[in-house]
Amino acid sequence: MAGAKLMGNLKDGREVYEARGNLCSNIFGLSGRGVSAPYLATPEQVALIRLDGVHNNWSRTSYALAKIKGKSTIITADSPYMNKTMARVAVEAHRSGKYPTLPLVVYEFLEDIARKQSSLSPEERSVHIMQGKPNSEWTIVLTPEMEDSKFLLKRFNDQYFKKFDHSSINFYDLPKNVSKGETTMNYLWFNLPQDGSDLSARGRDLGGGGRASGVLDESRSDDAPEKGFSLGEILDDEGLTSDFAPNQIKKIRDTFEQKGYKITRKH
Amino acid sequence: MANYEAKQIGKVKGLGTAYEVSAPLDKQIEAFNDVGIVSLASPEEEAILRIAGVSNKYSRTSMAPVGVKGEKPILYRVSPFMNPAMTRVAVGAHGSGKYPSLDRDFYEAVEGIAKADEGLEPEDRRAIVLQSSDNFDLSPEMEEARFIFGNSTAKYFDKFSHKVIPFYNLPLEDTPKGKCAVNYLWFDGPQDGSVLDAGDGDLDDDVRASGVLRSAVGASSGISNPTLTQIRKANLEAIPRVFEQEGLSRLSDLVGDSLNRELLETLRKK
Repeated sequence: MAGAKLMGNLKDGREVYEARGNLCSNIFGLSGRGVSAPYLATPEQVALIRLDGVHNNWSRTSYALAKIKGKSTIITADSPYMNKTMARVAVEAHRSGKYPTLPLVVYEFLEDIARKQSSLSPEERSVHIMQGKPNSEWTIVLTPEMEDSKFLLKRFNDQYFKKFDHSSINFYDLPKNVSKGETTMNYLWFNLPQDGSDLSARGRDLGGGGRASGVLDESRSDDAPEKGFSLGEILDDEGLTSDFAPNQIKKIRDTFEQKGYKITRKH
Repeated sequence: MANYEAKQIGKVKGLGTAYEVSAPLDKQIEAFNDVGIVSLASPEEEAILRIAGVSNKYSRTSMAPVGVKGEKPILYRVSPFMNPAMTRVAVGAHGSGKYPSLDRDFYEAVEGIAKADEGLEPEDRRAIVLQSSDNFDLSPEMEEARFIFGNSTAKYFDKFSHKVIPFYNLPLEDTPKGKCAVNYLWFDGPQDGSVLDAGDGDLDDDVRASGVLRSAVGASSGISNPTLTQIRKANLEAIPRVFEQEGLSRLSDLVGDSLNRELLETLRKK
C-alpha cells in the first residue's frame, strides 16, 4: 500500500517519510510525497535517520548490487531499479523466487567505472567493488576502518558504528553460485541497529510488504502542496483495472482514502 | 579511446542550456552526466531547441518505444537506458544487431501506466499505446504527435512546414518469448522531414544527441505547467458555473464541451 507516512525531521529540517509495500509501492508512495529519484534512502541517509533519532526501523535502500560468477559483488549508487517500471521487473523476479538479471555487460561496465573511481576516497565513489572477503557463511564482516564500510555509510561511518556500539556489521553477500552468463542484480537491505544493523544483499522480498525510508531534500513550500495521486494511478499501483462504473467510483475513493491515500484529482 | 565531451550549443529562455555529444550511448550519457545532465533531450525539448534555432540537426532522444510480439508498441517517456549501467545493455544489443530486450514485466508495467493515463491529455501522459504496429504518418492533431512533441506540437509542424511527420515503428517479429523489446526514438532533422524512427539500431555508434541542463525556472515551473489536463478539468468546473451565474445554464449543456475543446486547441497553438 502506497501512502508514505511522515516519520519526523532530520536535524537539518528535512522531512523523512516511510512507505510500505512492494518496491513499486515504495517508489510510488515516496514520489507522491515529493521525494525525488532515487526515492529510497541511501544507506548513508538511513544511518543519518537513525543518528538523528527519527526512527530505527529497518529499510530497503536505493543501492543496487551486481555480481557475476567468480567475481566480487559491486555496489552502485545509481540503481537501474529505482523507477516504477524497472522496479516491477525486480518485484516479479523476487516473486518468482529469483534475483533480477541483466546482461553481462552491466557488470563489466560497473567494474570499469569502479576501477576508474578506485583512486577516490571510498566516501566519494558512486560505484565500489566489495573488498572484504566473505567467510564460510558468505558473509563479509564490516569494521569501521574498511573501505567497504566507508563507501556504504560515507561521512556517518565512524559515528554510526560508535553510536550503536557495533564493533562490526555483517554484510550478507549475494550467493557465491550465481548463474553463469549474466549479471545477477539485487538491492541492499539495512537491518535495525538493535539487531546488529546487518546489511543484506541476499533478500528476495521486493514483491512483498516492506519498509523503505525516503528523505525529502527540500521542505515543501505552502504553494507547492504534496502531489497526491489520481484514482487511476492508485488503481494501477494496486494492480486493479480502472474500468469501473461511475457509481462505484465514490465507494472506491472512500476506501482508498481510508487506506491513507491522498486523492487529488477527479478520475 | 576517444574522449567525449558535451559541447554547449546555446540557451533557450525558460528551458535551459543545450549541449550536444556525438558518441555511443554509454559514452554520451557519461559526457552529459559530466555537465550535470542526466538524460538525452526528450523529443519535446529537441523540438523547442529547433524552434528556437539552437539546433537543426538530427538527434537521439530519451523516449523509449516498448513492445511485445502481437501487441501494439507503447511510447514511454522514461527510458530505462538513461541509467549509466543500462546504457551498456542497449549499446551491447545494437552492437550485436539486435534490439535490447527486458523481461516482459517491464512492458506490462509500462502498459499499466499507459492505461492509468488514458484520461489525461496526451501532452500530460507518461506513456501512450500507439494506434498501429505499422509505420504511419503523424499530423499535429493526433494524440501520438501531442504526446511526443508536447506543448510544442503545433509550433513545430508550423515552423518547419510539415503537414505530416513519418513515424517508423518498432519491429517486434524477432522479440523473444517472455521478453519485450525496448529501443530509443530517433528524431531526424527538419530538413529531412523530422522523421521519427522507433526502430533505429545505432546506439553503439558515434551519433549525435542533444541534452538540456534545465534552468532553475525551467526546472521548477516546467514547460508544461499548468498541464492541459488541469486546464481541462478547471474548465469543466468553471464553464457551467459561469453560465449558471449568468442564468444561461442550458447554454452550458449546449456549448460547454465545444467551448472547452476550443480553449484547449487555442492553448495548443500558443
